[in-house]
Amino acid sequence: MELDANTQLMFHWIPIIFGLVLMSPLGEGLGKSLSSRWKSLETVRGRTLGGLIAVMFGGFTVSAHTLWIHNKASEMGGGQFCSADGVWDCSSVIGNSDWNTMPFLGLPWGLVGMLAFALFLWLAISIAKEPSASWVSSNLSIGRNFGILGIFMIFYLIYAEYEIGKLCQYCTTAHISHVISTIGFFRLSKMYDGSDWSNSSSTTTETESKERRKRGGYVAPKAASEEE
Amino acid sequence: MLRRNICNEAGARSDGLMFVSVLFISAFTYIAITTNPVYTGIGVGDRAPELVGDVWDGSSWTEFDLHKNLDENANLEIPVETYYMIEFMDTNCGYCQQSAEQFLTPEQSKWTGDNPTRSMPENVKVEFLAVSIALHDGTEGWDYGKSEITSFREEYGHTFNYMDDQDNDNRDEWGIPGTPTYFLVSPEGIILYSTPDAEHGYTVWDAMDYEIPTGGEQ
Repeated sequence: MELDANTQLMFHWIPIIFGLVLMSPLGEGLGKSLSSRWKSLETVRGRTLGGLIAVMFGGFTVSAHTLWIHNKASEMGGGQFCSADGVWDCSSVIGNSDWNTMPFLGLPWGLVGMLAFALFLWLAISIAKEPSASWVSSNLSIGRNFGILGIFMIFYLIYAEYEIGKLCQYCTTAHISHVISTIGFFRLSKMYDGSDWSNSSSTTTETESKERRKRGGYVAPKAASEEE
Repeated sequence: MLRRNICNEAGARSDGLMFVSVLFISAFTYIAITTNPVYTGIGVGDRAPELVGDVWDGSSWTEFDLHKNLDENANLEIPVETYYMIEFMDTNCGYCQQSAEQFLTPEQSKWTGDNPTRSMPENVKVEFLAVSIALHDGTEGWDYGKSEITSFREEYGHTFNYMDDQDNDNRDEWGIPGTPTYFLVSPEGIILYSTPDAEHGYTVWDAMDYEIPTGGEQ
């Protein structure tokens, strides 16, 4: 059984919606129920970071799918994938050779999205793993600035869709994911500058350190006397 | 109170980088294995660029889109494999006039129409398309206009379509170096023969004989 393009798109929405719920006030209950597995979800900072990572993961997978459609469109013709008579017609957008690559660099937009979400994921995962690190502030600032840059690119792509006269549901999903990620970085920055960050940390840093030691992330060197 | 641990800080960054790298490489490998993109161009093996314009079929001017046409033929209940022989020409160019008389007139009866003399399988069809461009618009002695195209077609007794590209939109898109320039396009929209790529002496007619399958009744 072959799934149509809109059904396949739903799989990308699952982590995005999950992340969005986790980041929202509704996520408190969800975070508590998952906290036995992921302790950090008990705090607002942990839920925001967890939700952000889920949203970015959805953005990454949908961008990879867009690149796949881009390649398939150039392999088999634009009309073979997700063509529709309505306004939502991703093949008319992704398969359009005038608009489907980044100006000057010539990179397919799907690849640009993959690179952007990979960077975002790296920034967010690093912060989630070590929220008290010295580089957290610079990670948040990189996330915010790239987020704003990406929003300008989204405006350009919306203009492209307007010119083509069709909307691409895959691209729109990636755009929504990007906007949520940018908002998430701003929210985290606000928490970092305020008291929420360290409050969250003080309750969990000790637990996190204990957990890390328990997982065996660090092996203390043996004393010379023990070796002999 | 937050306590910093330099080792953990470095570890967090490299763990994150490792996770993202694995994710990126896996996605990229999957895409590389399952797709085989063909780039648009006018070389042999490239996907033919867009070719859109008004064509004269002998009685009226109608809109034509090469790729749409190929897709429609492929999606018929009984799919038809249509090969396109495309000639970029100028109605004023001496070589084009010579070619129209010496090659295109005899070759059209061999390949096109209801009873082509060349044997082909039942589901295979060949279409000729002449794209009339303007090499020297505004130069004295070089006349352009739709009437030039219709009278040229009539003069040589051609039965195939002529496209009006005297605004040179398609010529620029294809990057045509001169006239006449010939292309053979497969039913999948891939260029099988291109004059700029061809070895000396190997013509589009040779390529057609080689590339288009034989079979069926003559």
